[in-house]
Amino acid sequence: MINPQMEFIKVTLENVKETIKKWYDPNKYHYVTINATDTGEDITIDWIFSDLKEKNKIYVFRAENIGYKDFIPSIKDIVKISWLAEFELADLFGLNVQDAPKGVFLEKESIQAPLRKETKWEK
Amino acid sequence: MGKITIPFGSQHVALPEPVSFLFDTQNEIISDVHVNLGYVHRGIEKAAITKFDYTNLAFLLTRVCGLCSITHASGYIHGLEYLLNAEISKRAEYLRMLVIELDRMHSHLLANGHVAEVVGYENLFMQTFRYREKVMEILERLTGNRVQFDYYTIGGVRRDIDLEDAKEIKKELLELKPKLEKLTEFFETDYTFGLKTKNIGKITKEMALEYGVVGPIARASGVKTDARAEYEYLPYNEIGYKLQTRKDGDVLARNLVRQDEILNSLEMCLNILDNLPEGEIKVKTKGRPKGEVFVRVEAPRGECFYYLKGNGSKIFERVRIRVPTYANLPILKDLFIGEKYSDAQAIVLSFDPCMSCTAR
Repeated sequence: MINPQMEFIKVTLENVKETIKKWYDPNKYHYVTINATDTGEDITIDWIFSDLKEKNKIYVFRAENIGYKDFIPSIKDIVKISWLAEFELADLFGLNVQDAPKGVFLEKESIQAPLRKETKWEK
Repeated sequence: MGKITIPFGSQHVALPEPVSFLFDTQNEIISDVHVNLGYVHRGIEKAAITKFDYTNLAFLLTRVCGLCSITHASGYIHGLEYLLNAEISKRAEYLRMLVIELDRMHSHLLANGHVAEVVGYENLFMQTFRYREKVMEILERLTGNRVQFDYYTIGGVRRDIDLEDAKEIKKELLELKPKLEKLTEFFETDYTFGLKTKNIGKITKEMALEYGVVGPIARASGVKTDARAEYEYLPYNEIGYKLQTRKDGDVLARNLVRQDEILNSLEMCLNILDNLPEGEIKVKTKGRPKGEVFVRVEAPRGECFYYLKGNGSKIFERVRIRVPTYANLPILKDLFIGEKYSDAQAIVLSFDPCMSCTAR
């Protein structure tokens, strides 16, 4: 059985950028992705990293109770490639992410924000 | 000469995948790239949290990708077994590794064959695919299918292997080994192939770390990263796994890393067949998934990441998939700039991109 060593670091939208900036070193840590989960009442966002040296280690910077219209800061000036996951949050969850346009992953005619709980399959 | 804009995809002979690049070129040198990924978002993550209960979800997730379907099964099922606290037998673990490594072999042969084709080696492409065909036949013998084999199941695997099959598969792998070694030698030493692939699309180790690239792309630039070594989801240390790296970070190095991995996978398969433990292939599991887990597994194209969140009901609250091509796309976009348009095909295909996975 797998043995993930998950370390959760609580952050807020106000301090997430500063916290990751102080901690992140691309020679030590590998940026995995950004994930959002819709609880039905609000959003939880995880900024996920792994350790290049320590086996099974996963670091999760977690911001909870985020409103659907809250402004989410981009970390692309710290982690150069985070823009792709941020664009996806804007498209698949309909979130207001800094510098993230809508329409990169979804065409205009498709169902918008499909991963929100309230979004149904059919139009 | 003025700026010329050239489309590459969404349907292109070199890349029959739903992604579109628009290259701005000046004197055949690429000066800017626009990427459009949004042709066919498939809504698999939505289906995973609305239409499939946890016992059937693997059937959906293995269809994220044709080539690395077993990777998606492993990412999901290892996470699920953790949430269900299910310990599987050693024999099932070894059989899982056998099929995963055969899958890696055929996927790498496909990628290397495609690179050979776009740099003008049609015969080499066919030769590579002939060897790949052998691996596909072995997979069919083991799992009942060439691709999309639902071999992983909760608690183990679906099919056992008998002595006769093991003997026959070993014989076929031993016949294949010198041919694959010869193929590696060709990629490494052929002068003209080198001219078309050396110093093309070069990624330094620093760039690879900065952009967080994964899989053979990172390892070809000297980054020692591989989920098989960093995240213990199967006992790779028991079957002769060796992390493969190259230093040059160009199209050729990416092909060579894949060749090295093919040979290592073949060795691992032989070791598994020689040392297959006795025991059950499947254990019963109890309960429903509750809690959350982050899983990393190594797909042929690199690290594949799964996040599962269960609340004790039959349907997961969140299933997140981060596929390797998704991690490698940002650098690919920036890498084109300054390269010749005529090299764009080789650069794209040396990444072995999978849009089916990316637009999951």
